[in-house]
Amino acid sequence: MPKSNPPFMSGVPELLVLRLLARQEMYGYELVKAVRAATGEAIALGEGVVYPVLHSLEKSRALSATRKPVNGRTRVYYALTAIGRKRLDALTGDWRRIQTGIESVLAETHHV
Amino acid sequence: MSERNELAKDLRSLEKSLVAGGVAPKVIARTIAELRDHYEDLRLDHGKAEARSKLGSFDAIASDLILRRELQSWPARWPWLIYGLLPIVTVAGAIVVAASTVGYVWLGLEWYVGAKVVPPQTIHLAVNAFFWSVAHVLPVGLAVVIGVHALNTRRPLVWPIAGVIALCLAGGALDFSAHWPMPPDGPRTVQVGFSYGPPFPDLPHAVLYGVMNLAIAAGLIALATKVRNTWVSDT
Repeated sequence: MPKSNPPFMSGVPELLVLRLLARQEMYGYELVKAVRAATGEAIALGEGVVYPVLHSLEKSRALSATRKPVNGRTRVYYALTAIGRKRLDALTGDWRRIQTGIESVLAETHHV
Repeated sequence: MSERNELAKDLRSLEKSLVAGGVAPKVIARTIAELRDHYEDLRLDHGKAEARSKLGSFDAIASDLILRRELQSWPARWPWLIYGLLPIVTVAGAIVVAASTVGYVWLGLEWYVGAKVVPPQTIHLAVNAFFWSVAHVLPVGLAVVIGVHALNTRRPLVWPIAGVIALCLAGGALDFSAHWPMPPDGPRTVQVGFSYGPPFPDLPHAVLYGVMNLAIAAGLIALATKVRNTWVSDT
């Protein structure tokens, strides 16, 4: 019996952020651009909302943050940690289960 | 108003909401800096007309940050601890540290000299002035810090008020003093007394001093808040 499903969309921003940061470290703006590119602009959010997600993940030690001077500005780069990788695996598993469930329902509806 | 000024105004308003929502100062500072930086990047890539709207609603960002308990400041998460218990424990700890320091310095001196030492009266006065400041100035000082912090961060005032009252009343009831030996072999003691416990020594005076402490703390809190507000409006 699978564990109860987390609220449908609540883990999506975390999942996207962790997945993209698993490839390489990024700063906020770069990450938002990467989300847009990776989702084919299917997910359109106010770009500033990425920061609460980043800070929360950093606080739970799923991400590490490093300040780096770039062209006279200090950027905060975020990178995935070992805890973040485990969290990513868990969220990916949750998402796959939900996706499979929804696809089954849609397929059934289609047959009807 | 230029778009940069408009952004600065929005960021100030966001900062106020976050402070009032109990978000940790470090998180607030980082969020503001990152949003400003993000805006500059958007401005370069999309032009100033689109930059602000792409950044999104600051109200949504504020709500999101405020709802994440892990990003709240310690006083917002544990007000009873930070405003209530910690200051009282700090005063008690300061008394233990002060008494131990004086006691061990004295014992160390006697061990070094190899005989009983009776420091001069000026030292006696200085030690008692130090003890008096620990027992009476420190609680009022902490009460002022608590009050000013709570007002500045616009936190609910129940725990800060409880903390201020407890500190001021405790400060009024404490007796912390050193008694010097009278030659040749009189006793030397460090005395710590508290008038709110049995047998309630000098209770009326303790309450009176406590109320006086409260009046002093309230005055200093009002003064500090006024000075701060004037300074903030000037800058």
